[in-house]
Amino acid sequence: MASVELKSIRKTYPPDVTALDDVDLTIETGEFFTLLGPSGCGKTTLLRTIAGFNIQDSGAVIVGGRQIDHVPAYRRDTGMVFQDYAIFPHMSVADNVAFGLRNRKVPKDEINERVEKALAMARLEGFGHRLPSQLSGGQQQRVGLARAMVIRPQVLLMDEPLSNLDAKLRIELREDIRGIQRELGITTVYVTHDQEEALVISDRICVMEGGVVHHVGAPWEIYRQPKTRFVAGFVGAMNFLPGRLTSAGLALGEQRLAWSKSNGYDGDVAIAIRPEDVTVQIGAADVPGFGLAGRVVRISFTGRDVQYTVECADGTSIDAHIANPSPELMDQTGNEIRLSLPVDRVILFDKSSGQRV
Amino acid sequence: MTAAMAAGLRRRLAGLNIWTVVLAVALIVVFILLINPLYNILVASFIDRKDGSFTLGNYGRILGLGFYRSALTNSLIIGFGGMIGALVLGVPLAFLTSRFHIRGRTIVSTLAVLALVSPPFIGAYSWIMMLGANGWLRHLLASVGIGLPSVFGIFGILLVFTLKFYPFVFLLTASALSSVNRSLEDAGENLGCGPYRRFFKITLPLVFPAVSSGALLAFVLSIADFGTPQIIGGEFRVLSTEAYNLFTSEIGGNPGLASTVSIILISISLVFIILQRQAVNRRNFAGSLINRPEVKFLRGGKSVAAHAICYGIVIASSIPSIVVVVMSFRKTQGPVFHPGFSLSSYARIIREVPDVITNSFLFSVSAVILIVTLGTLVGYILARRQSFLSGTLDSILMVPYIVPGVVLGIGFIVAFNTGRLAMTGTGLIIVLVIFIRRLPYAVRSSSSILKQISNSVEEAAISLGASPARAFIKVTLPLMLPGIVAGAMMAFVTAINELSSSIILYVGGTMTMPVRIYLSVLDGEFGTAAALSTILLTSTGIAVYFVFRYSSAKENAFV
Ligand SMILES: Nc1ncnc2c1ncn2[C@@H]1O[C@H](COP(=O)(O)OP(=O)(O)O)[C@@H](O)[C@H]1O
Ligand SMILES: [Mg+2]
Repeated sequence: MASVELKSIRKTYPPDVTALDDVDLTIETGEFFTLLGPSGCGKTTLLRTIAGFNIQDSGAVIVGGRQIDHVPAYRRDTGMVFQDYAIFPHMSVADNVAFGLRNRKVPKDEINERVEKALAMARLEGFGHRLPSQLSGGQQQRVGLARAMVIRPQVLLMDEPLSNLDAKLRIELREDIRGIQRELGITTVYVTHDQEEALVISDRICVMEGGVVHHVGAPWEIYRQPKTRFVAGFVGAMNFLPGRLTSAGLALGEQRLAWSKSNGYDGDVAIAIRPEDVTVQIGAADVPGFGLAGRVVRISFTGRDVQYTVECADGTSIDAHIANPSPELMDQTGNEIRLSLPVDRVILFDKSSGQRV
Repeated sequence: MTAAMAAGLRRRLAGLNIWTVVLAVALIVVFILLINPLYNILVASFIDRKDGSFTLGNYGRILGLGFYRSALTNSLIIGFGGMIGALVLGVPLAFLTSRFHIRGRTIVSTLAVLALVSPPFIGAYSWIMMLGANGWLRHLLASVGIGLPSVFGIFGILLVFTLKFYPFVFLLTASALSSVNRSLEDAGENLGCGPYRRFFKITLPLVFPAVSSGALLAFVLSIADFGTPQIIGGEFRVLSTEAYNLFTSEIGGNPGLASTVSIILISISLVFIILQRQAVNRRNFAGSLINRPEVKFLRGGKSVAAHAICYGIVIASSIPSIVVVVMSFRKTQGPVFHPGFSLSSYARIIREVPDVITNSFLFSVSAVILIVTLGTLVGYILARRQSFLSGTLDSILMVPYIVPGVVLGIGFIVAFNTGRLAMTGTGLIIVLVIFIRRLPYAVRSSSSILKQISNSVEEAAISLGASPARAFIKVTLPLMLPGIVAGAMMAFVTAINELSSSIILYVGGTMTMPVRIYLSVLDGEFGTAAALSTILLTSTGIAVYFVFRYSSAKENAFV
């Protein structure tokens, strides 16, 4: 178990794809750290750079205080769990799990003991003699997990390990992964493009886009205090409205509210607010915030909440998610309705740079 | 050295491993055994025989002299003839077996594969026994009033080629036909196409790439084949036999002209490959593995007709082998067959040419070991470690597909007659020529197996602490093994049946079974030829059995 430090990692692919652009990260010992971002943002490339499967153009990888750029992949002591499981199809489950221990010349008795324990942890007792083809996808990935953790690697790397499984298994296995990781305290770098999964499972999340790190932080912070407009839009649903912030306050259309934290900022901003923070009333309301009027174009009932899509006169569309609406709010499709955006729930991003104001 | 430079160097060394070494070895091998002989031929074709100066005269003579020009025309005639014959038998057979329920479909495709792997010179000589002036089939047909032209000449050549090369068209087309997305045909019908129109307007264009690849193979193999025109061609001369005759003729031989003929042969194949590629380009349609076409049941007369066509074709193509096996057990006295059966032909070959049999097995097994070892490793590099150099190697490995055996044989003599690498007259040279001719097939099959094994399986092994070499041996190799066994068996089939290059390279002590069969046929020693051919066919059949057993592609492994 060790910490992982990445210093100004750069990686380009010919002809001109910049997969990683000066990535600096520190992952603490025992932390469950997730790389989150859309497909193609460089998550896999970063993970494989730690594993040693690709070599960065420049920058340093430091694991447990030791720089390992020149160490070949097989000596890096990183356990890896793959999206397509990568279980050796010609070996039994037990041989799969024992493979890494044999490479490390662990004594036979100890191998048997550790394999047993690892299989038990991955809830695979009694499966040792089976061949991988006799296992379901979820079970195969459990073998993948057992195989990677049994070597007690310095870092455990997982590249979208759940994305080939169906929704129910995904939730079940993610709980188990998290449980095992906590129990063993293995430093873990986890890759996913599923933001809900990232929020649930991680100690900290790193949101990436186009090879650049946007925000590193705890799940609640990523969700509530996103550093960039990209993070705000990628993690969870978000409404964006054009506004203007000056020393006189924050303006949305004709309305202006006092804004205490403007610090001399003067320019166009994007006003961001989560749909669950927007409130909906039939008549005018008395909430400290912006008030908007619009026509309800769609109401969707998800079970957990009711989702309104409202179109304002100027054409902007706003989503509002109401957890427990009063019955008269349920059949308003096509009607005029009023929305309030509470000012203490609003966050602002610079219009051109996308940075948090 | 600065720290940054040192770090860069370390990184590069980390990337250097066993695969770099393998790639280097492979490049050296193809350079010595392929580029070097062909370059020698190319140079020789531009050299004046008398004073050794540069000349275009050789080409002038070949293209100018009526004699050689007719050999060129004849080559094209048998190329197109063999191709058309293969299409005429192959396409209907493919259509019938993949779209209609044909009883014993496995038997049909097994017989087609056996026809494909049995050497063409055996076919040629078997048809001579049947349709020669005294052949039983000729007499039989004459008695019912069917007169056939002489089997010697173009009729015999095209008969052999058609029955020998149709399996390429059949196997490729059948697999394409059975993976055409059914909805496309249904859509055609839905939009008002009748069955015939639908076949020509929709189905055939969809399988065009496969049909044309099969046709191209038939064409290239027809113009490259040496044994058939030499044995059954009579006065009908083609480029491959001319190259051989020019090179080996009594009065010193003429490497310049033989080389020129060789280059012309290669050029023709090359042109056709390019034309086919262009025709297929942008017409490669992904098939569907889920929504496969329906296999229909035929009734009554239609069903009988379909079965008659299918079995008629594959039985006709197996007749030569059956006849050869039967003849090998006929009683002989010297070259003459007598009524009744005996093992006298076998007794004779064991008495007179035991070394020919051992040579054949020794050379083939050695070649197969080389082919499989390097082929597997290179296939791995092409599939998993792509780089500029591996791409170069990949392109160079296309070359043997278009170089006829006779041509490479001549190239080997020219290149390895003298100097440090002199090895003409040895068994090694025969092993090496087979090795380099068949290496690309093994490379291709090993890289296509690897493309079906996920890369992450090997990375998993590495991340668990196995070195790249150990990961390959412990994980990748075992997964490749069935494919490697099948590939080895196919290499063995081609190695033990090789005639066209060995005929140029053999000396008394390194004679192989195909060469001996060829010489026996020329001497009219049909009994010994039949016995040797039966040994060849039996070994081939056993190898084919193992391919069927181990290759998931079954009959499609052969094309
Ligand atoms: N071997 C490669 N060659 C060229 N480009 C690559 C290669 N691997 C990844 N890329 C490119 O690098 C970028 C990042 O890829 P990747 O790390 O796989 O993204 P992610 O895992 O986030 O989906 C993408 O634009 C991808 O196309
Ligand atoms: Mg990825």
